[in-house]
Amino acid sequence: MMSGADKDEIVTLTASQMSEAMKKGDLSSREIIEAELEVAKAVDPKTESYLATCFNSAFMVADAVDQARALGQELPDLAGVPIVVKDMIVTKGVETTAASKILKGWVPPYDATCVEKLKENGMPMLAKTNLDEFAQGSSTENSAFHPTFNPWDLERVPGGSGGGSAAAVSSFESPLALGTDTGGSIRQPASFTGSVGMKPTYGRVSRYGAISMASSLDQIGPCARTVEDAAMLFDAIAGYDPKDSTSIPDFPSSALKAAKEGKKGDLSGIRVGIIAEAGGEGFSKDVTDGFLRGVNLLSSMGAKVEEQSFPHFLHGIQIYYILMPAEVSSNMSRYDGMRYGLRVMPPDATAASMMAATREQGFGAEVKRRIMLGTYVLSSGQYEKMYVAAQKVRTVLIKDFERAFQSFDVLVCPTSPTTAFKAGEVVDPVTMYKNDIATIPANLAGLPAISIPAGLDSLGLPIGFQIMANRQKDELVFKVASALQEAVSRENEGPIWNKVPRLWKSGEND
Amino acid sequence: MSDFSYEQVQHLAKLACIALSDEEIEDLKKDLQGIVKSVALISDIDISGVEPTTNPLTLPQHLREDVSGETLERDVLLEQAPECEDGMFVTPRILGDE
Repeated sequence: MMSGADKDEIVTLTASQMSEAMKKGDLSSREIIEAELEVAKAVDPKTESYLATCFNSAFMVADAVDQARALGQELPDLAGVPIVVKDMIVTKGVETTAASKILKGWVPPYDATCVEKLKENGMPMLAKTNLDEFAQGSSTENSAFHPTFNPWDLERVPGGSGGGSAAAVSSFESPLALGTDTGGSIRQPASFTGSVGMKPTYGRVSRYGAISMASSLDQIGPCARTVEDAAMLFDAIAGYDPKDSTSIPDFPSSALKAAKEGKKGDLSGIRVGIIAEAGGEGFSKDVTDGFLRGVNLLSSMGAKVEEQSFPHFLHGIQIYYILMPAEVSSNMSRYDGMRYGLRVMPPDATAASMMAATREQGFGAEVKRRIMLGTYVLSSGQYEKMYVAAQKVRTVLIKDFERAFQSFDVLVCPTSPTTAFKAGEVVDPVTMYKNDIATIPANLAGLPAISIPAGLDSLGLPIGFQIMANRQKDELVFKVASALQEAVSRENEGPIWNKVPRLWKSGEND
Repeated sequence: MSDFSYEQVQHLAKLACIALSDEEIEDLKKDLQGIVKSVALISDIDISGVEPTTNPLTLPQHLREDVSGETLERDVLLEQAPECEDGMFVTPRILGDE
């Protein structure tokens, strides 16, 4: 049994430090998993990040890695480093629910491609993480099973939909997590929890095995405490997949190299555009101030910073709330009680009445709302007027970005208009949707985007800083983010992620 | 646009194949109205001559080679079925009272 001090030290290591310590023989994968298990036992009852844990199989993977290392075998950098996976991503033999009653008890017969890659890299999976049902929400309060709480302040939400992955990473339950991002579900939770969350270019990571929400917007991406760790995980999961016809062929990734390059703190020659419209009304003063401090740090490292007007940026949310529900209503039609998942049989059931009853009981309020909205915008009276019109405005927004990337290498804005809000505080759907006003445009245009903490607000809550680049410039996003992270750490006398309360110690944030 | 009526929401629920309670229909009348109003602002944007975007990827579609791959075993898939018999899914009767 390890001493308390050992455990504290182990779980606060970054993924790359864990990797180095294992290579040197200072630490075994089993010791890491033991420490994470101990922390999870104390912390998860408070954050409720996990829907299901799988420590037994994690120990088996860890032991295999430790043995292979003892035999002197060459191993991938991430071998033995633990990870947790958003329950929107299918895992063979491990229950996958998308936090919905309609999939409760479903044990997928296959792995998502990114999960296969985690296995190829020898990474022990500790748990499946909580989310808003079918990734539809911005607070992780819409999970059919339980909400997740923010490790910085347990009365607050961790953001959503990937609140479980973000809370797990920031509370030291795991150094790494996988998320999915359709309108900000990786980045907004990263912003609320002081962690790093990255949405890759549409097509850089295979979507095979990600439960579909809105297929033209969904992307799988990394969650971590540091940019370097997120980059390592990105390199492990990126790449062409014959099982996803939208994945980009022949495009090797070098995110870790870019992050290391960025760490040197030289951004000379990089042109940074501030999105003028992502500020002002709706954006809190603390968020704006924190963001501007981040901008100054970029200039101090040699970046050329200018404000850029983006006439259609704020229309992104309107385009999104037409196109996304349309795609949701189509993707959710597969949950019909016929082949897997919940089946509810009303008296004297027919196939149609069984389907209607199953969907009534199986889906939560937000999922129903989006299916209904999607059905409406795709109905014959509204199809041209709403759906096709929104697809055209999507083109207009993409053209704005194309113009901007002629003058700028990266675009920056706050990730979210506010820091983490209290659980139960936002009840109106339209108010909740506005959380994603600054993250949605990257999904609509298929761009890579990252959120990293820029500092803390007056309540001591993390402020998210978003960096976007042109399609397939994911590496540049990592480079600039890594430079900024170093500068923010210097200014704050240590990394932001390290300032979170240690929830396994009694008395801290109870 | 005009308000959503009870009948209109009920009709959408039928198209979406979700049985809804009266209370849910009343809530959705209000919610759908609010959301549709909030997205209506895009109608001010000039989209004449603009092509719709269906996929943000600008690269040509890349198809895998046309060779047979692995498929999942029937027994494995049927294990997850609510009801199965003789290697097939069992469904409720298709024809109803309508």
